[in-house]
Amino acid sequence: MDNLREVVLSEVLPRVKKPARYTGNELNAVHKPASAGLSVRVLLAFPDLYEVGMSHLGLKILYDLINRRTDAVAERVYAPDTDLEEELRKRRLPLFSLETTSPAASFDVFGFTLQYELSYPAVLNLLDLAGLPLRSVERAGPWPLVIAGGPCAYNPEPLAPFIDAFVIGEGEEVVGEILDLVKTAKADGCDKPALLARLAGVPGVYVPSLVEVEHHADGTVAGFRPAPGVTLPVQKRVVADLDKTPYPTAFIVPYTEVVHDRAMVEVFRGCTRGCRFCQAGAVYRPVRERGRRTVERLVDEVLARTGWEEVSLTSLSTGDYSCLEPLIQHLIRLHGPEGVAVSLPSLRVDSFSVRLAGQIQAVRKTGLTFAPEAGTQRLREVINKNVTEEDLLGAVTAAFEAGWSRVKLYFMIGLPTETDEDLQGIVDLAYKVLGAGRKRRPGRARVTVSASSFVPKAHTPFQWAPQVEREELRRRQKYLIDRLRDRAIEFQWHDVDLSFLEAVLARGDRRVGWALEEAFRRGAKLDSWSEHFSLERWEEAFAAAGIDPSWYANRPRARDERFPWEVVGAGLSRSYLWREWERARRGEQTPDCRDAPCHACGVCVQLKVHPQLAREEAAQVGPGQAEAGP
Amino acid sequence: MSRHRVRLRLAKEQEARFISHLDLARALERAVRRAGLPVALSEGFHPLPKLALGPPLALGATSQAEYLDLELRQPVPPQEVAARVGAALPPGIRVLAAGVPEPDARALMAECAAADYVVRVVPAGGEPEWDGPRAVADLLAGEAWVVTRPVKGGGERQVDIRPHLLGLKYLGPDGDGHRLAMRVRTGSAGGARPEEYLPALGRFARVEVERTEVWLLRNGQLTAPLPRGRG
Repeated sequence: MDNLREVVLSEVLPRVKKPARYTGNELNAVHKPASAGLSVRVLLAFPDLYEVGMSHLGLKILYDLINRRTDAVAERVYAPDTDLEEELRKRRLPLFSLETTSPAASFDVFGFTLQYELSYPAVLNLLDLAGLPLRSVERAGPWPLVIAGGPCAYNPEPLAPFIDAFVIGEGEEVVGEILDLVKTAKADGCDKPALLARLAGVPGVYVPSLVEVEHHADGTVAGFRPAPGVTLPVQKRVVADLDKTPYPTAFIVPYTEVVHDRAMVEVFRGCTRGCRFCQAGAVYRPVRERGRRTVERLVDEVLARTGWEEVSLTSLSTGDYSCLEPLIQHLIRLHGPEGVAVSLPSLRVDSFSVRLAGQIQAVRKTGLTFAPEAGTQRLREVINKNVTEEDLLGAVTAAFEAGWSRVKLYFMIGLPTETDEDLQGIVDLAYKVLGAGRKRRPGRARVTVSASSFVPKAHTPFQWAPQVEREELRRRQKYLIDRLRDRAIEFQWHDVDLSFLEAVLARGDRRVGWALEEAFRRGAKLDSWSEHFSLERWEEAFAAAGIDPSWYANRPRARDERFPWEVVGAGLSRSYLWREWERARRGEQTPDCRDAPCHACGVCVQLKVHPQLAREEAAQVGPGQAEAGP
Repeated sequence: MSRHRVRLRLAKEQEARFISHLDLARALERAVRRAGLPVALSEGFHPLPKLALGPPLALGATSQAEYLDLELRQPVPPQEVAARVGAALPPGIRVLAAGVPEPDARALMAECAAADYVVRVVPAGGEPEWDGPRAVADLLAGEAWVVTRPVKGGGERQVDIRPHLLGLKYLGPDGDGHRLAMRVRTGSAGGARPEEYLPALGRFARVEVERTEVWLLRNGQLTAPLPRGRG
């Protein structure tokens, strides 16, 4: 192993771009010596480049949790850039962990986070670079145990042939249970079948090899046949109280630039706005806010331990945090003089949010981003995006008046029931926003319109919806291109083929996994990067696997069709999702459950948790009262 | 506003040798912030701590002579700055010495004129009989050493860098290789990197470069950035 480190440092890294991505000695990286008698060694993998993976919060949380234990260690690995991969393959060197340059296959657990479907080829490539067989059945020994979690694990089936076990939901509690189990299994000399059987007994853990899927003649799912002792669906894990949940503050500080090079403090988890297209909003329920004092303490600690010049208050919709304004004012007062900026990952579409943005220094006056998602009120009601044209024009007017000259608007095309009228709505909104800008920032106002193509996702009300055919999506893109012609408007759109592939993987089954393997054999690796993506490769792969990708992407589903992803559950009841799908098609809105009666989505009952808002705590905890730490 | 400047001499060791110059500057900014020093901030929407580094070091090289100037809002004794920054530095970077620059000192980069290096070379296979002293003497006796450099925006050009070589000495064998000492001109008036001279000396399988000192031009004299004997 020392030899591998020596070769990597002296022969390999001097030949690759930005070698500081691979040295593993960034500030706060944890190095535990091999001699420390560690019972469980875990390799945490993000199947994309370092720049992307180092920006991701979930793995930082797991890294911290595992390394707090004296009997375990977590190290990191990311997808090597093409030049490093070439050097490794040329020299027949294995994929190595960053911290100790140990071969990936030498770990007890090789754990992947699945943040987006297009990273799946990189998962296979990392297994291959580690020298491991891709398929779970071909890895005879129990170690390394290959596990995966993250939002895409809510449809685990395309990766089911390759992953030994999936972890569904939030990792904070279940990771400790898995480590304990692995420790015992190692001591017992467990073989792989015994290990997997034990794992299947952990709530939130799905072992695909212990579930057989039966199909109807038309290819749809007929049913699941679980091995004895396995209960389906495997429901997600969720932590009840974030204030009592450990949160990392000694974040690893990268040397090279990464996508989000800043401290992150998660202010809440979950979102109950109920946008019907949004998988995150569905699967991370319920809303659980951290107390304001906990957030303040975490910000202090993370800044002291990292020296970052910016802290981002993260969540799915930070504008909804109950005590956001006093929190931001406090943070600016306390940390502003040190040159530290506070930032928000996204802004709600209202003038309150613009006022907040004006208070924080991190937002340069060059651009503010809003996401109306759809161009007409009718379609926004279909998707339950509770934003009116008045809200949007109020927000952008406030932004232009406060000195911003550039506004970015996010839309989706191809949403269910969309017509050309809705596309025209995008065009009209863009010009109205530009008009508001020209009045206040003559000659300076610019509007960027970004339109991605809608991808229906598992466990959302739109899981029954077909993705619009590729040719039609291209026509809709062209509709916008032809009409957003003003020099002050920049129009951005996404590659339709990538969105199509994403749709196939997002609602795929195990047969899609075979196509994935075929695509990997044909060279698919970093497909989330359009310069590495090739549709022909995938078309060949689908043909070789004998499946029709549009059957997965473009087919409307019947009400009673069973879905491959229903082996796992996010706590949402099927009847709630169907009700929402029907309400969508009738254009009926469903309000946020924090301000309305319960909509019986099923999460709180199923998972025995409750929404938790910091404003309730504010009412209970008087000023000056100390807050209990975690 | 009175300026309270402190100059630190830093070592960039093996562990830190893959950190680029820009990345090092950012890492030092963050270390200074962690140290909780009253660093002066630049004006503007994105205030940055007022730090200045000496000349860039090539990626992969180590150094015993990276200099960092800090501007503070109030006076802090240099030894205290050294201790606090030292405790906050990332792995592979150490404080070697601290002091106060001359009151009339300009920015490090503006005054920097030369740098010393120790270069360890391992001759390529098939050349076990590399004659170091001879190769050194030949390069020193030569009139010119022309290298090809890429030009910004594409293309390349030929440059004679022999005038930038201010000193070269064969130090002796070292394990499977040999050690050389070099003094090379650097700064706005032109300069060179030590590796650029190596093809004139032989073919090498491995090269390790360490910067041992940088020199400022003050009153026509090459002067060390900090008084000697404090390190």
